[in-house]
Amino acid sequence: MIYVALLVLMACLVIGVPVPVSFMASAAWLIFFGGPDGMGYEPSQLLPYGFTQMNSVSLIAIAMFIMAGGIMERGKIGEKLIDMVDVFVGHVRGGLGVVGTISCAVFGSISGAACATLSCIGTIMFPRLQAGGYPRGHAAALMSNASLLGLLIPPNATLIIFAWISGQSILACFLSTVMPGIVTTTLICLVNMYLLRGNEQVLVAHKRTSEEKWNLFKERGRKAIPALMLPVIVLGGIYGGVMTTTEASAVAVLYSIPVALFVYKGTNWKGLWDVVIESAVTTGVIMVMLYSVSMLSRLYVLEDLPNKMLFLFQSVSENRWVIMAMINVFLVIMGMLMDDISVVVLTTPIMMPIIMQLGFNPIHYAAVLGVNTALGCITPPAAPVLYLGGRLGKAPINEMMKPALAFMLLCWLPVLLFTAYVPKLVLFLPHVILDVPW
Amino acid sequence: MSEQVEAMDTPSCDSCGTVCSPAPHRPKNPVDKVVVGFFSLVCFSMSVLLAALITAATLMRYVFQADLYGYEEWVKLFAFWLYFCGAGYGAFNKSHVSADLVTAYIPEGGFKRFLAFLKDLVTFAVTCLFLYYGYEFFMFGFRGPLGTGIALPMTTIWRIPLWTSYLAITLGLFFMAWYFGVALLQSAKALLKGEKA
Amino acid sequence: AELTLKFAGQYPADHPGTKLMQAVAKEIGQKTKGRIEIKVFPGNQLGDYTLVYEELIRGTIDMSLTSVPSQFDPRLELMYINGYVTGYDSAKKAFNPNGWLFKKMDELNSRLGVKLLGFYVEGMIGTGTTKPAKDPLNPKVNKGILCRVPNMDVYKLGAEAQGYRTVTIPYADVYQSMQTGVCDGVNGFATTAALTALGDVLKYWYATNYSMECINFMMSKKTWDKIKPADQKIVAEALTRATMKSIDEAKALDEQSMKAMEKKGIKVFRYSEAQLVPIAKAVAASWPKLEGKMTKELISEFRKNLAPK
Ligand code: NA
Ligand code: NA
Repeated sequence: MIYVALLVLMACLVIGVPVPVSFMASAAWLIFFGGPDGMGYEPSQLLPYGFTQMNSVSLIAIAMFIMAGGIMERGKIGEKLIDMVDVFVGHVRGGLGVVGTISCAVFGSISGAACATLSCIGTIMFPRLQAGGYPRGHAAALMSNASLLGLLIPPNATLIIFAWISGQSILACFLSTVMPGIVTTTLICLVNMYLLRGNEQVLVAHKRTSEEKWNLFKERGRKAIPALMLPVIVLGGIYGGVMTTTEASAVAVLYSIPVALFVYKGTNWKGLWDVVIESAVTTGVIMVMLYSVSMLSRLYVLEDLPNKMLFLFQSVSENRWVIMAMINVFLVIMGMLMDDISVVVLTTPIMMPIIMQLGFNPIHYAAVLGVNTALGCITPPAAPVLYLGGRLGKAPINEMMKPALAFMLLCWLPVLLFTAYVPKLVLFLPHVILDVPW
Repeated sequence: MSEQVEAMDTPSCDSCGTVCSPAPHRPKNPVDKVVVGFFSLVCFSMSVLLAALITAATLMRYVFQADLYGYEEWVKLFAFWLYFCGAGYGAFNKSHVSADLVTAYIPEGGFKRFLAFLKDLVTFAVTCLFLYYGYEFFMFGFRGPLGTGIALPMTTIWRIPLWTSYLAITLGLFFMAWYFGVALLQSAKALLKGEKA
Repeated sequence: AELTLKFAGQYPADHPGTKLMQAVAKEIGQKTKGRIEIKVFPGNQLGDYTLVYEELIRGTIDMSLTSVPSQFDPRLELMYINGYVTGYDSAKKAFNPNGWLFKKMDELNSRLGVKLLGFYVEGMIGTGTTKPAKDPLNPKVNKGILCRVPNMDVYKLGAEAQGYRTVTIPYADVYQSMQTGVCDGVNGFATTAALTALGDVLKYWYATNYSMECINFMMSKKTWDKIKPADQKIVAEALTRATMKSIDEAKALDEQSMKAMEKKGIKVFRYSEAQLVPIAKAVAASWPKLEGKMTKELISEFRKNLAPK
């Protein structure tokens, strides 16, 4: 019966039934036809079960981080961040792309989602990249890839959800993707320069003297400080033992409102109202997904799906590192079919028992999942960030395909391998800062 | 998005499934206006209240060396209203995430219209089923486990009846079913008349 | 079997509590000569304690070994009140099925259609901290510790009566908060639970035994009424024995956990029952503050029967 339930889920997803309703449909199948004797399950327990799961303060952090990121995006802080980064790397060939990439990483420490990062940094970078002679397909692919750094640099909504479902420490999960994030940033910059080598159309800014740099730094740094204070408050507050993650997320919202309204004057009260409502809708959409998946995953666990999956993996190979490769392939395929949040909510309850049984460190798996879900945002057919990049960068998808593929092969594939097979790289920061065992 | 961008041959962002904060649609008919106005008001006030309350609890601990005792019971109640009014708005807005491969990759025509109808039918039917479960869930909290109005489930410290949270869930499901129903009517019409939905 | 009963538990499959459930199931099966067959579902398989309690009311689950939720009736927090036991011997007296507490809890549960059959004591509750508490046995001294308490009046009052400043942090954030220093101590954790959940961050463990982690053996009234009087007696006796056995096991388990704590480098403080009386008395002095939610009659009856002497 569990296989029919999975089939129902896949069929619903493919014809375009909203993800949470697809989860409910699969659950409904099991309610009527599941159970050891095929007599189904008692439905009156499902909603209360989901309720007790959702009745949690730590989930509120997701709503708050989405709102804080939205307000900062609307508050036009992107320009200040980009100008600041430009001081350091603006003058090399392909340097403008490097500026955009690093700006995405910096904005990633404010926002928990890739789309917010892309629309904040992308809207400002695309005209500049165009003026700098970048092919539009390349520019769009580059910024789509770079915006995924918002999913690797903490805070990060997908990892809060992972921590919530798997019962792991949010702090440790946040730290797990930092090193992969740094490696990805470096590789995106290098691949960008490699792809643009010998392209005479790409302009190079004139070299700056160190004095010019220092003066620019002072001028632009001052403007960027209010924005850069946010990650300091949030991450400093959390890791410094001042606040819990949820508290930090709420403080971030209250901090970002005056910065957006009065310091950068990027929006007004009307704009603030709109962005709060938009964030609330995004939150609501995510939460209904979490509610429905917590009910569904309970039924999946009762149907013993994790063990059946593990058995399937082990029938191919008993070696846990080979199984790790299969898990990665599985996650990549899921990422092609769904967006990042759906992948996390659907796979975590099924994969966590497998991960524990195989003796992998759950924090290591957090990073594997983090990198895979980031990549999933740009792998077609369901590639939300890639499509958004195409729209913002005014580039047709066929012009984006070649550079996007180059980034996937030269940048994301190595990062995936690193993350999956060099656990020390992933666990380094969690170990040093939080004493997470190797 | 400008007209020019809409015309590009990239699949649209909201059809491919993402949580991207699409700009809210503006309601046209009076019923929608009331419903959406209610959602907006709840979403806005709950968001601000949550941020303020959680920050206040943090400040209390340091500035006044005091505990805002039991505040998380209120916080969780407000959170459920935020989540499910946001979700209701999302159904009106058509911003619920879907891995909509059909819209993006199947050519216009009768088959596509049929699939769109089937999708809306399944969506509506399943949501109605869970709305029914949601109604029973709410009534359980509202009438108590014995159905007599005594021993209502409540929170531990402030004794807030839990049906106040359950109501948000049931209401959210109701409006999801409502707007999915509206979408079903539209795609049924499109299927029968054979035109683009 | 004439009756097949679903027995829901909240502890994992390898926990002593689950093993006791299995032993009880076997004993009842043998003594009723197979008239009653009991199937054990450990590890919240049938839902968490609130859900299980709802199902006991409805009669869709027959028996459970679970915590009692206070959401249906605040008076059910009665057994979680701090300060009425100081050790394992006083626990055996307080939890005796012929004692006042059992009868009162049975009466309150009965109102909701649930029959109380026995208690399961998992272990004593102490205070765990990341920095030393000042004069831990003297309730009048401010301990200089910001202590996390569960979201319940009884724990907040108990901790404050002992001289701790309290903060309610959600359970999921406790580890992180201890680790980063948002709070410096926890109250309300039984010894074994503290070791498993917080063993890596704790530095000090004060075995002040001001309370114990105790959950209930319960049966749906609907099921109870289906059982013949002779078999009811067999069930009740089996669970009385289980209650007493759990207290003996708790003593051994607590000691084992404290040894494991010491091995991890946590400094463990053990006290005699006599040394702990001032704390218990200070905590008991805070009981009148519970009258608001739990009613005056109940609290004064509780004091008359269980206040530390
Ligand atoms: Na981020
Ligand atoms: Na994808």
